[in-house]
Amino acid sequence: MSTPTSIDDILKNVEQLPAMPKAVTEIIRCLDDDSVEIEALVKQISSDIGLATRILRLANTPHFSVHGNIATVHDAVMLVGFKEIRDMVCVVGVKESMSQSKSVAFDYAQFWRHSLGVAVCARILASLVRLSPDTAFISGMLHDIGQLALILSAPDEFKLSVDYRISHDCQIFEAEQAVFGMDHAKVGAHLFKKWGFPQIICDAIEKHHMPDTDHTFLMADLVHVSEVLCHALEIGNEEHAIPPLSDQAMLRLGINFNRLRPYFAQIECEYQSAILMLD
Amino acid sequence: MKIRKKTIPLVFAKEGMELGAPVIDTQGRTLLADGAELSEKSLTSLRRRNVSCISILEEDPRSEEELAIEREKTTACINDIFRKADKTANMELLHKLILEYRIEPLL
Repeated sequence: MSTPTSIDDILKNVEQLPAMPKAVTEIIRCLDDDSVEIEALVKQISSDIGLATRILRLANTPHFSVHGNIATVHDAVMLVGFKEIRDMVCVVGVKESMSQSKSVAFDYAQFWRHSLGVAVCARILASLVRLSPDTAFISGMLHDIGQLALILSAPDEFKLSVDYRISHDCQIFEAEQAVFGMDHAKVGAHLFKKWGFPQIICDAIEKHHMPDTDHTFLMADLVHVSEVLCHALEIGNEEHAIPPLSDQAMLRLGINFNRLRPYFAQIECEYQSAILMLD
Repeated sequence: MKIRKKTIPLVFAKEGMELGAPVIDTQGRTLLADGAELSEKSLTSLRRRNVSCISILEEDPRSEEELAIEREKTTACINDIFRKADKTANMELLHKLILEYRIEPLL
């Protein structure tokens, strides 16, 4: 890739990134389609040998397999569970598709812990506000992917934004805006639009740091609040300050923190279970 | 030694652990009673019903002095996370709730 010089160059470079595995994009497209059957999911996973192997290996770890040896993707879906395997495919597939991104100045393990934490939190909150828990999970998992796209397309500039964040003790999106003139939310949304992801996910990603724009989106509000809550609960953000919170997003969702307090332990617990998928 | 309730993911639960609260499903039915000892059979049953978290009782070996130090460290760490938080009612409430949530198991 050439060294980018402008926002357009960066977005063009981002567009050259290889797409996610077909199985993952198909699963994400069909998240809320209740008519998707087990055989369709099995076929999608089995069509990608690398992905199927990873899923089988994970499904056979003691944490997921309580039923003995799982030899086929079909067995994995039947014995571990349809939703559990679908989550696994999304987490493993998204992580592996961005694994070419390498930078010494970036903590990848923390990045994935944070993404998964926001995904788990968004799913729990979604069920309280009658949004799709599955769409919330994948929106949370993907919300910061723009950071990896920036590392791939402009590694030197991204390093500058990491340094800027440290020296100014600010949020990464503020540092990116100072260095690039745009942030990872815009880059991520641009990439997912290019890949044909559902609009609701693209909007959630694009607005998750600034949900109070002319057109508001409840899924963006949900990811925004989930991210703040994950920071507060120290899920995947060991040393960073909590990001700003939009009171309007809370109002639009019809939630307050007193109502969310009984769910703190559940969020932590489900995160601790889900983190096993990142091994 | 103090006995505390701790919420853990079901994947980390083991035979012999004692429940600190009943396990209730999404329909409000009690699957296991408060104080029940977990067995292989009950764990399998909970997994099949997609229970993700349970509350267990656990001994806390820490002394009062160790707990006081832990409370101080925890409070400082949470205050650091909120060091740049806006002074809004929502953020102040979240800060207070997180402090309570983290400190309560250290009392």
